[in-house]
Amino acid sequence: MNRHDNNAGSMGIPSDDGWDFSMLLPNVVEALPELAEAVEMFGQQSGWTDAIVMQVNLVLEELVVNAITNGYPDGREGHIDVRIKTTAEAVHIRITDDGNAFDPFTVAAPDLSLAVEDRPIGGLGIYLVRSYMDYCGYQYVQQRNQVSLTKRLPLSV
Amino acid sequence: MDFKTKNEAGTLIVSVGGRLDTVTAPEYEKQIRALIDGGNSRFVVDFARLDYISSAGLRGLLVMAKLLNAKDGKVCFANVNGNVRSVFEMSGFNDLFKIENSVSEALATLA
Repeated sequence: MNRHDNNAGSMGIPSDDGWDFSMLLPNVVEALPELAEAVEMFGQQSGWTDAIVMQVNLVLEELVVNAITNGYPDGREGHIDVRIKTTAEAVHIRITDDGNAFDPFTVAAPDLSLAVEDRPIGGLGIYLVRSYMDYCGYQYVQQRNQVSLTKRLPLSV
Repeated sequence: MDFKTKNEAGTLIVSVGGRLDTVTAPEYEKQIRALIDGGNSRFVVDFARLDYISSAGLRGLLVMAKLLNAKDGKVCFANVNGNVRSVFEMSGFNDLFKIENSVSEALATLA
């Protein structure tokens, strides 16, 4: 069977065995603190700035929560696979889950000009992901949702 | 997340530390609701000890503001720095809320 999950070649997204960080989470939000801690440690080892550690953790939280909330309406058990590859130029992230097909990037952008009374509760998560990342892609591959993200790193002196 | 409160001449100073995220934001919302239900209507939220906020945390702050608006209450934020400021700027929360550099300036704004 063909695999199409690494076809964003121009973005330098790594092949299946090229990941530096990999974690398989159950589809419960209680798994998030362990992920955040592991990513923080990985980021520090990789020489990321505090801002990059925060941004990577934020987009992972938003997308994992999104997958948990939308993907398993029947309450079945599932798994979310988080992978990261980091180079001098960029951080690549791939999140794969076995939930129902759902493209998070079809969610409408919130209206940031609304006052407190008119602002809907929620809707900011995916907007933050788009804002912090340089590339956001979605595919449904082999009955799995697959989100690919790239964050370009500032050139170090 | 840890959550501390201090009453300063009728204004409640809430100091929130650690992470305000999907796991902890419901607890923040619960504490704030209880304080507002208990009759408090003037708040300063001090973010000096907060390391991280996600959309779930922003949601908690928005719920707080809506509850206070409904009761003619007021809230001012203080010490919104670093990672928290970055997320505030991205989400437009900087324009949505009153923000001062320090708790004392925030108290002066509400007085």
